[in-house]
Amino acid sequence: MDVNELLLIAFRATIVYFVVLFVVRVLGKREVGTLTAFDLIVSLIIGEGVDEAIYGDVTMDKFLVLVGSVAAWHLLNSWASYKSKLVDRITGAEPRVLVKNGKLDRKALAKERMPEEELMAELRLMGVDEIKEVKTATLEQNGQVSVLLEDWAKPLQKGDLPASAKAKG
Amino acid sequence: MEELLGVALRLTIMYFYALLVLRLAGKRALGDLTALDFITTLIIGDMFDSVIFGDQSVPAAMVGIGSIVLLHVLISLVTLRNTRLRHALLGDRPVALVHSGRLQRKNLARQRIGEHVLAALLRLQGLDLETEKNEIKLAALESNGMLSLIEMEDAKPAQKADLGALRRLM
Repeated sequence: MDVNELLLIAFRATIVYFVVLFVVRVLGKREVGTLTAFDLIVSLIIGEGVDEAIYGDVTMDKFLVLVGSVAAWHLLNSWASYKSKLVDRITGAEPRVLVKNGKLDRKALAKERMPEEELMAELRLMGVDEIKEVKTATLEQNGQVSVLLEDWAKPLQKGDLPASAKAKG
Repeated sequence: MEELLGVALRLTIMYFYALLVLRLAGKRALGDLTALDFITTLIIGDMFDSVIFGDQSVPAAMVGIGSIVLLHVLISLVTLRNTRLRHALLGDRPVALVHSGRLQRKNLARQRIGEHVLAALLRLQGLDLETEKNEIKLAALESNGMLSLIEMEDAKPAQKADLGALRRLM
């Protein structure tokens, strides 16, 4: 491996870096912090292409086309999901309510193929002691379980205290 | 047998190189990622693979990975103090999605975030958009894609100090 080849690699790495930077910049924040699986897939695809491009196994123009195509489709998907509910439902699984008003919805759980044990673990991880504390637990698009607590189970807020108590004494 | 030893040897070399490189890249390459950190991690993640399996020579991989990390550090330093440049290059200005209980529709549209998606993001923070909108002082989409939430004063968790005079009676 002579110095020239190594320099070439450094040079290609620089180009690749700025290309990816530009793409990430254009795709926007939401594509970086994931809510749907597509964002992860895009990262993986581009990541793979990057490797090949830096080492010169793939020519730079092919790499640019790869990145451009993936970015373009991702952008289109994102925009179309925003404009059309139908597209959104097709490309990203709908969030599903698993617990409603303290009661577990076993049918919903079955539809998501989620064992009850797993749901209970997720609730525990959110600090939930008993299922009756939960007003709504939803399996979101990104696979996380969100929990909305019943009013009486919520942590105390400043506004809950009587005004006289808040005066520092 | 020799091939396997080769894999093990390269893996060891690259492992320590990775440690060195990540140390150089800084904490944020591992934790919550800004766009810059994300890129770096994305790129070098894959590069380790090919060299471990012998598709690329070790010096080639080191130069490639080293270049990426060097660029990362360089850009981090350059944009550290120069805010305008950082926003232009990385677009990492946080965007307000809800302010003082009101949805920022222009920002939501620009970020292509539908109301149901906003509701989901807030649910993940334990907040019901429909009923608790007015508890939100600021909900912002940060550069790493996560939603930050700041509540109105009254909705903040109660602190011992709030009990004030009442405490002496208890």
